[in-house]
Amino acid sequence: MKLAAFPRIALAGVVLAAACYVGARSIGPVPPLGAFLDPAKGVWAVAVNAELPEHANAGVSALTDSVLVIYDHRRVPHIFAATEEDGARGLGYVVARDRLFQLELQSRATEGTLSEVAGSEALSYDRSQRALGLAWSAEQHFATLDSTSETFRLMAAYAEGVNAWIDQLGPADIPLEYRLLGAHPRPWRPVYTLYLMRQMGQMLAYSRQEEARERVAQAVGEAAMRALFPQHSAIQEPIVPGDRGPYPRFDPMTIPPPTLESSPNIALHRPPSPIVRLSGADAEAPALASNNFAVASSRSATGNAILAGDPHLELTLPSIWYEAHVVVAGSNYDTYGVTFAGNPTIIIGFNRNVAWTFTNTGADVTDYYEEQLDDLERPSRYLLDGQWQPLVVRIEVFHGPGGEPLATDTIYHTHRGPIREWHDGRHVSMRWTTLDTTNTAASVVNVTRATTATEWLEAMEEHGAAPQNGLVADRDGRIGIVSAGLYPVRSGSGVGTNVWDGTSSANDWQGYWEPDQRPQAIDPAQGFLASANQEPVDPRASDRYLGANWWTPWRALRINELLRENDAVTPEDMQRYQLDPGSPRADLFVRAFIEATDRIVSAGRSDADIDVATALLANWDRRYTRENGGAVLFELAMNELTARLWDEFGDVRPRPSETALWQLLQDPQNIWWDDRETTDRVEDRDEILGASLQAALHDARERYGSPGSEEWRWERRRHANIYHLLRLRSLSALGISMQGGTSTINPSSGSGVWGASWRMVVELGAEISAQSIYPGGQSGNPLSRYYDDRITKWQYGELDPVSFPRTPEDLDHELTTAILVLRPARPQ
Amino acid sequence: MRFALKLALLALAFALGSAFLGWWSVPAIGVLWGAVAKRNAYPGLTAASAAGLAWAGLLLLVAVQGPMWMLADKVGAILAIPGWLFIFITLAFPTLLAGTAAVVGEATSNVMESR
Repeated sequence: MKLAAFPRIALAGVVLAAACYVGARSIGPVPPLGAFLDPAKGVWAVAVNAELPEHANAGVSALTDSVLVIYDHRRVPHIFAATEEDGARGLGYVVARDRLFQLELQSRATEGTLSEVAGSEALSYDRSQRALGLAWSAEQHFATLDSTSETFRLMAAYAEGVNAWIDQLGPADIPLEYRLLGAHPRPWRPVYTLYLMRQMGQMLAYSRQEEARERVAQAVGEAAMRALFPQHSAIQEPIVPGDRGPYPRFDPMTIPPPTLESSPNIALHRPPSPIVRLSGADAEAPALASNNFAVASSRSATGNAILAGDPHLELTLPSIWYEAHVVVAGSNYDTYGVTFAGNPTIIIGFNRNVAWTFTNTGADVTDYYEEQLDDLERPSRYLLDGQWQPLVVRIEVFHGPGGEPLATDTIYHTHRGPIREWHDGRHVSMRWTTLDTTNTAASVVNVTRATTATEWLEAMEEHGAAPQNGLVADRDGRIGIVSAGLYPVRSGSGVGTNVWDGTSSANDWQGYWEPDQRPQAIDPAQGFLASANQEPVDPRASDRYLGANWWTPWRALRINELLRENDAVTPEDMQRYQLDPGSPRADLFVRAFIEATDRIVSAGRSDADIDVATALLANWDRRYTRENGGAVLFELAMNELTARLWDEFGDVRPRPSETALWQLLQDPQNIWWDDRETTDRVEDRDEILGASLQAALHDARERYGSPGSEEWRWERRRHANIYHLLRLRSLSALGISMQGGTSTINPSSGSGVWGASWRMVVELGAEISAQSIYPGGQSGNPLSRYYDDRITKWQYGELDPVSFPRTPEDLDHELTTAILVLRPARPQ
Repeated sequence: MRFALKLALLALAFALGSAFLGWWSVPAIGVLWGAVAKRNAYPGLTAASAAGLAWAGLLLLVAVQGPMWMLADKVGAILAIPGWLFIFITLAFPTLLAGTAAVVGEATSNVMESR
């Protein structure tokens, strides 16, 4: 070898070694490039596998008979099985085939093991999840399940279906997200279904209102806090139709003045310009704004009951929902609807006789107990009824992607639940129904088999956490609703808004409400039922504590208004209502602004801006349509108004609801109206309303130009943003213009990440006629045409007619896009 | 003509190796090629070209079977690079591996021979 060639060879050797290194090892967020770039088995294979093959066969051990899966033109699998367990195996298989990464991500998010795939960036989230103990309680619950119970068998069968798909995955079949993370799918355990239910409990029924109330009380005083965050809503449009109406009923009460001396640290400054809030300030606040409504045969144009539902959850790609149809031959198990990836049955949907849907109840099912510990640094016991009781100690170890330990936490439990440190250093334990052993999984199974509304309501008696307003309609034209769930029986007054003394067992929950005590109604005289997260029962009918600080029932007001004025409702009406742009909130507050500015003008204190702003508001039709140019000014004025009115709160959160704001409108001289920045005078209601409107116009001009310009159009200001599960923008659908605004039936939150996760309208005639849509698509593969194919229809409120065949032969073969046959296979 | 045939056969070897054995077959075949083809002019360049061609052919198969360009755009966006650059990197990677491996293979073979 010539010496002159040495540098070239050495360079080649170094480059080769470096290329091999980056090919085999991940560097920072970049996965190992060799396997990643491989055109045959690497990331490029995701494109090859974007669509399902037209015909496929697979073996699934434990199947009792073959399962036929026919995918229709909307990529909805119709699963025909011999037994319910085989149906669950089929469902598990097809969900894994379409949503494998979502399955794993959800279970890991609940379990607090995201760091194992995402690294230390997820550690903080994992720690908070494990501190809550969701997976821990699910494991305990699972250990108590009877392995012969239907719930257990279905969860196990579902896991067999998921794992059958995972077991036969080739290198080319790994979903994109795993490749990006350099991870590999893990097997699915049956207990992950219970994880999923606890995750829903966390999203829908986890509350720290006691802590928030304490913060607010410190800021504005106990009396003001109680009035601003009351047990009952001052605007009543209850879910359970009452006889204390007419509804809606407005019950204003006087709001006591703030006691500011209790809050020396509250900043005496106005929050930054509220203008930014129009696009994103409420980004963090969950906007659970679900609706459901139904008409009985008496108010339907065809004489058939009609049911509509649109649960509002965080919008993601792939969607939280997966649409499916499971038919078990020779039984009444023939259910269509949507399920969460990881659940062995349909959650919302219909069978041949009934249709059902849910909204969140928002009940208070979490309590906190101040505990006395024997040692604050290394506690081992807590005081209860004068005796020291041992703490249960849970050690949680966190690992990174390579299995390396990242952290270790010690979680202490009393008999009530996990202990955490409160905002002021106190140690409180948490009692939460979501951590209890509940029968929710069984109720989810049983409701799918109900043949009448009454049977469905009975099946819901087993529902535990999170409490849901379950609405049902049947083919006999009957409708019913129940606020189902476990509601604690508390000691004393039964109210659970304050932190309890943990040293006394007398403060423990005494049990749960009996099923017949839960808010419910069937076949009301009015012929319709509706829920939109409002207070379920009129407190004049029953003031038993269910929760506090209920959402202002703007959506409920509008839905009830629409249903009251229509005694011949059609499915098309129901579909239109789901995107209705009307707003009782705007009706009420626009009038308040205009009346205030009229009085300002009469008093000779007006100026040109106020005149212009008033005219703009007066000419607005108070509808949040895309092209509308009036909503921008109104929303800015509302932001200005709340910032000025609640200046006593400083940085303290949460702020009072708009029900409290409406109550103060009835009290023009209340000291709450005073602007604390002006120390030489005391403002009243009209001055604050006028100043808010004036400032809103100023801000709107500055940001969006002259009134009437394109930038004022509502579609330029509010959007739905559907992020991919990993928040990867190129896999997300962002900036989707929507019809709907704050507190309309189809509300549009500032961040746009919450919205109608599913819309469904079902008419229960001799045959079921149903339509549905959700924002996304059935496939979890971002390269598939079924990844986001439904978004445009969803955006414009369109619904797809659904196919609901009784047998494979009933399905229109022209609309069949793929067939999968699962056959019994010997266990490996 | 002989060179073209050699190039095609070598590209086929890289393609089959990648498809059935994985990416690491590229440097392995490159080293072997360098060792056995040392009397040829520029064995490194030949191996690099063949490996690039092989993966380009495999990418062409991907494009026939699925939305390859969409994938390039989406993954490129995740990596904050244009889609075409992601394709370029995909082709540059085996080119680099095979070319340098062939040079190292040739040199190793020469050393062994001289002993």
